[in-house]
Amino acid sequence: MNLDFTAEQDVFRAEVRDWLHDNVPKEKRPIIGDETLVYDKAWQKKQYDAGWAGISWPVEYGGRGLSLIQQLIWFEEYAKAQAPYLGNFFVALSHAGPTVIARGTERQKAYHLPRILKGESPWCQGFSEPNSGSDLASLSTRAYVDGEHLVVNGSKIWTSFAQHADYQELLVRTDPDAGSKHSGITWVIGDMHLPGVDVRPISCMDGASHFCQVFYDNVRIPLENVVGDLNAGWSVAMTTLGFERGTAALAEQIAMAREIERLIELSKTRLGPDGVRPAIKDDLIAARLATLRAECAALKAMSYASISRAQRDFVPGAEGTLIATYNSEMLQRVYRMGADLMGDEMLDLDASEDRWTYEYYRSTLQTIAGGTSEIRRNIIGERLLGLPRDR
Amino acid sequence: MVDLVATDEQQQIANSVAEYLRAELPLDRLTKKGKANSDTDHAKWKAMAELGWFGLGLPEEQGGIGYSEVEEAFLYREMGRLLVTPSAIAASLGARVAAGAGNGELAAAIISGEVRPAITIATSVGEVGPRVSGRYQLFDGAEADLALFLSADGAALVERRALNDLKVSRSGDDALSLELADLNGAPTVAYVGADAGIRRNGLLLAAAMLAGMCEATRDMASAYAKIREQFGQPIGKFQAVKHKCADMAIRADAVNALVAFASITVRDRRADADFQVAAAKLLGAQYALLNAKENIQVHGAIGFTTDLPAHLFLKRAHVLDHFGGAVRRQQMDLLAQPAA
Ligand SMILES: Cc1cc2nc3c(=O)[nH]c(=O)nc-3n(C[C@H](O)[C@H](O)[C@H](O)COP(=O)(O)OP(=O)(O)OC[C@H]3O[C@@H](n4cnc5c(N)ncnc54)[C@H](O)[C@@H]3O)c2cc1C
Repeated sequence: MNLDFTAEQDVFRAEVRDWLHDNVPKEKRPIIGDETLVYDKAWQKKQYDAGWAGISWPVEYGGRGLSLIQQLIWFEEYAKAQAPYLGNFFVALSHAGPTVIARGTERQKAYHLPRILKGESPWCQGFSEPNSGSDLASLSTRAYVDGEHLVVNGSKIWTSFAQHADYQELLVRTDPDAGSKHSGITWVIGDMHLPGVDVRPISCMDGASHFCQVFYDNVRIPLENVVGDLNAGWSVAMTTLGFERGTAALAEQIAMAREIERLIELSKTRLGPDGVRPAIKDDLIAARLATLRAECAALKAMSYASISRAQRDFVPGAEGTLIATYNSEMLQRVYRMGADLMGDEMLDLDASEDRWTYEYYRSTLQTIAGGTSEIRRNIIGERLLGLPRDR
Repeated sequence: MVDLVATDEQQQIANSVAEYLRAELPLDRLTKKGKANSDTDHAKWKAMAELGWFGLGLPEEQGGIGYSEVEEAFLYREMGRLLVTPSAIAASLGARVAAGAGNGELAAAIISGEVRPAITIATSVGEVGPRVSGRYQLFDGAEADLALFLSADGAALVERRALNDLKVSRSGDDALSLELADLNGAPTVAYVGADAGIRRNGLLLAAAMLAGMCEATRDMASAYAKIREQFGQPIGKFQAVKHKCADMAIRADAVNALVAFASITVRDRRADADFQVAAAKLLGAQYALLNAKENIQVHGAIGFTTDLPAHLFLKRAHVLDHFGGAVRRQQMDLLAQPAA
């Protein structure tokens, strides 16, 4: 067992660091509106032009074809440089692209992957429906085959970035008479600009992040956009969720370690509950900060362990879910700490420097999006510990 | 290159330790005889010593086996799973203290199981130097030859017979006897300063045992949840129980990964070793206590009895928590560290 990076990896790290240092946008990322799209596209294109897009994606589709460890190094330096959140490219880069790489046709890869890496096409994820959330496999957005097309009718909801996306990971029911709810589902690449697609934004509690409801009225999608086979989309969806809970979470964790150190600094300048001494002199605050440090160290160790297993090609199991559960609930504790350190000022959104209140409100989504904490605990209990299934 | 998966050799060490302990020191040794005690542990003391366990992490030139803190952490995790007496920690640390103080003969005697140390926990601000002062709890020291003392200033071994006026007290951990010592400049047989890092080694070994205890309680609870039926179904089918078990799995995984990580930082003398070890000890104790409590809950009334070792996991977690400084102390130490 080892924690050392090779000399070659150290050189890579230094290159990454230098490039990020010189190129991370000076202006903060806007958090709302069409400006986010302009900003995210420009930043992604800049990375692509300099050869930094898709570190672990295949070279033939515009990636760098490097190892997971190099991907890790990129994430670490990305967080240290305080480079912006992926925003509108989050879905495309962290799970849509990887799903197409793993399960897509040659044609799909050649068309979509470069468009993602060049910052041309943001994606969104059309999985959840008004009546199918945690019970995703019960989804009922219907698609039937008509010649060379799938004709889609129904609705998706909570679709983040739908208002800006060009493409969508779309799950539809193609065979309502299949034996079980998991069969008869198809994973298809939906073009968001097709006639019959209607996107309506929904406003959120953090005042910024937007997801949408999307309606489909006889939307005709070419059959060649199907990823995997017709009626075999459930296993493709599991691939997508695997990436969503794996690599995507890693980048967040690294950023979280940084946030905790910022909180410790903040606790030295903000006043504590007695209104006289710095917050860090308060026992309870000190205890919470120390515990966060320890938990975040554990999370890092868990991620390193998981990358180590992935490098040896161990089949990733439910342990990604362990990490995701721990990570998401820790993030909520981190931002609650931030809000608490702001004292009364947490109620004044203009005063709460560094947007701690916003992050705190926003962190509520952590235990819902991408699978709720309750569903994750079911998965851990049933798949990892072998407890009897409930459904 | 970064790699947190055990090598084949490390896995073999862990497996052989686990196999030996399951056969020779099964958990039911602590439940069968009415009251839990450490008799079996001491009956097997020489055998464990002969397997090389007490010198595992010590270099060969100091009389050890020549593995590192990493392999040692695997060993102690397995010992934690079966609640092996913390006197083992005293032996692994005691051998280091003796070797560090230049007393190779004593180191060899500890490693071979000839001479047996026990752990102490300070209950007052004392002094650990060439002489030892202060009030201490001595755990499982009834048959020990030496007592091990740790502080931020160093580590020392004192002969049991130099501990005047030992008072027997009722122990919070049924399996470990408790005696109280009040020392005023007791002479040491070996002493090393803080730079020898013995306390850090001790925190790591305790954290490793706590990690094993997190795993054992997780396994015990989920095994029971599969077989115990109420309302016509296994209780593990109820989410209230299933989710408790899931939380126990998360905590066990977190502590295990952190202990492995910390053990590498100690072996490689990395700058963040103190940080990682304090974090591991802190979370190890916090999570072992939570898992032990939840394990009792999942078992219902039988978990409250001495027919099962469930209660002993809780009590042992408290002993190991206090050893080397409890959670609150670790929190202070961790916060005083620079960012890792
Ligand atoms: C900010 C945000 C962004 C999102 N972005 C997207 C996106 O881009 N694309 C997309 O497809 N979806 C997205 N989602 C939706 C997300 O995947 C769902 O919200 C999630 O799967 C839960 O479904 P639900 O909201 O319908 O809640 P429900 O499934 O109705 O759950 C309600 C409550 O019941 C609990 N519950 C349900 N079933 C069980 C059970 N079996 N056992 C125990 N408890 C249970 C849940 O844990 C939850 O607490 C997003 C959600 C959020 C909050």
